[in-house]
This record gives sequence, C-alpha cells and structure tokens, in this order.
Amino acid sequence: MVQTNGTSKRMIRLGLNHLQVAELLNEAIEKQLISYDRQSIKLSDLGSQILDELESVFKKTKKEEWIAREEKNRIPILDKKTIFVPNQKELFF
Amino acid sequence: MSDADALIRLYKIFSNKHWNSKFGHETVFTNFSKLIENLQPEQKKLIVELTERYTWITEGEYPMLLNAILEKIDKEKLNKIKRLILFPVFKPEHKDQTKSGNEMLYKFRAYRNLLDRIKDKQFVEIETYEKILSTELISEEGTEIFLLDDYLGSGETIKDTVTEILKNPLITTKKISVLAIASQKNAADYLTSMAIDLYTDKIYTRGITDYYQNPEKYDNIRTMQAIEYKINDNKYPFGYEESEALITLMRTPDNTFPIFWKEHRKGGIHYPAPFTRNE
Repeated sequence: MVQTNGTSKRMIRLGLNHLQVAELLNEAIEKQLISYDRQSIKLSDLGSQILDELESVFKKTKKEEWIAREEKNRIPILDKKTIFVPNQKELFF
Repeated sequence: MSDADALIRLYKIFSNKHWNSKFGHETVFTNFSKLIENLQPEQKKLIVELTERYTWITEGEYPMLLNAILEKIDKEKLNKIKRLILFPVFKPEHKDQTKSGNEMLYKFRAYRNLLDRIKDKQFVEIETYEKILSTELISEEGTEIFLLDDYLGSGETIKDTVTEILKNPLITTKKISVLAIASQKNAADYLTSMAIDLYTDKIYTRGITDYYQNPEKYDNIRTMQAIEYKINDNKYPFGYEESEALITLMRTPDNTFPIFWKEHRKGGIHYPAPFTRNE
C-alpha cells in the first residue's frame, strides 16, 4: 500500500478492517519499516528489503492465481428460459 | 496525500484525542476511512486537517464538563445567587419538541448534587414559555435564570429564547446567564452584545474561513465545495448558516460541515458519514 501509493481495499477484501490496517501501518512505522513524517510516507531501506524478501516468498507463480475469483458476485446457472429484469431501484444511471 | 498517509494521520488523531476510548469509535474510524478513500488527494488533506481540529464530546463527558464550566463563574456572583431558575434554550415555535436544551435540563437535574459549586442552591425548573413569562420568582433577590443548552450554533435559537423571555417585564438581562457545553463565536458575540454572561467549555470559530489565510483559505473553500458535491440533498452547505462547525456532541449539530454527518455517494454507492446525524 505504501510502496504503490495504493489503497487499503485489497487488505479489506482479505478480511481486515480499516482500524486493523491503520494499526499495522503504525506498527510498521514503529518498527522503522516505514519512514513517516507529516510531509511524506515511504518504505525505509529496511522495509524495502523485507518487502523484496516477502515478495519472493509469496510470489504467485501459477497463472490461475493471478486473478482471484470473486465468488460472492457469481450468479447461479440460469435456465435458458429465464428472463432477467434489473431492479429499477438499484440502477444509478 | 496518499491513502496510507491519511490513514495513519487518522489513527494518530484517534489516539492523541483519546477517541479510541469512546463508544462506537471503531465505526466512526471505519466511516472516516471510507470517506477518505473516496476523496481526491487535496480533499483527503483538507478532511484530515479539519479532523485534527474536530471536537467529539460524548454524553458521558457532560457532567465533568458541566462541573468545569461552573468553575468559571465568578465566586462573588455565585455567592449572591440563592436560587437558580433553569430554563432550556429552544425556539418558541418548537415548544412541542424535545430539544437539546431539554436534555441539558435533565442532565442538570440528574447531576446537580454532584456539581460542587451549585449543589447547595435552590433549583426551580421551568420548561415552558407560558410559565417563564408568568413567573414572579425572578423578582426575588438572589434569583438568577440559567439558560441551558449543550451547544450554541449560529445564535438564532439563543436569540429567540432571550427575546421571548424578556417579554416578562420582571426579567432583565442582568438576571440571565447562559450555560452551554460548547458555543460558536456567532452565538457568543450575540450574548456579549446583550451583556449576558456565557459560561462554556470553549468558543469555536469557523473551521475554514476563520482559520486559514488566503490563498489557502480560498483553495480550501473550493475544495470543500467539491467535497460537498458528493452529498445528496445538501440543505446546509458548510453547515447551517455556514457556521463551518467542527463538533459532535450527543448529536452532531447541523452547524457542522455536512460531510461529517451526512452520507456521501461515489459510483452510485452511498457511504455513511463519520458522525451520522439522525433526524
């Protein structure tokens, strides 16, 4: 998140809440893995080194794992005679 | 400002201000985080800066704050008072509603034996304009009216209250004091102009207009306007009467910037506010 200037969304998807993400960030700062002042936040040299080590350990080498399946939005198999009509209240356009 | 920077700043705000010991703080933190995620970098920066100056007072803190506020009353003045007439701040047209002034009256009733400076006084509670306008108690020596509310915003409500009670010819501004947990400067200035003593924990100025200098002030006003564009049905841009308040008490007043108490939308999804105000 710090390295890529990204968001916490991936961690939230993995089951953390925002407070837990913030606690982890704070812990990383205390352990000097992240250097932080009010002007900037970035990985320290130690943090970069550990990130490189972890990436090689956790690198997904199987192509099928590069994109995670999102089961919660998977729709059941529909009968070919089924007609789908969207709920008008759920449309925002 | 990046998400990581904003999140850690928010974490430190909750820690430094001891918000992480308040009931519901996890939900407030989550709602703040989601709000910040939905903003552009300069908008994140502004919201974080405003949150650093935000005040969150829970109901449980009221008795201690009341006690501290009463300590501010001049000793000589307090010694002369034998009887307190307690009256809630509310507009005459709201007489059938329960307003925050009534809540403060009930708090006073519940805790007055613990409020060191006044526990030995006599108390008379009046809750209707009909009674306060007809009472003759005020003419007795050593009797003072305390108008109660937890928060004074634009000054409209306190002005209406004072104007109405002064219709009792026995009541003068010398016999009135106002007690509030917090007050915006507008309301405080009105009371000063009326020579009515206000006892409060803190007087607050407008969050952007009275804090920043140009060009930063101009930029932040534009940034907040862009943020408020995400709010549906925004009746009070920059808060009621543009009070630009940064405060939540038992309830968030509508004087506070609406982004803190009204839900916002992004991509068709509605997100709850950090300090949702229920109507």
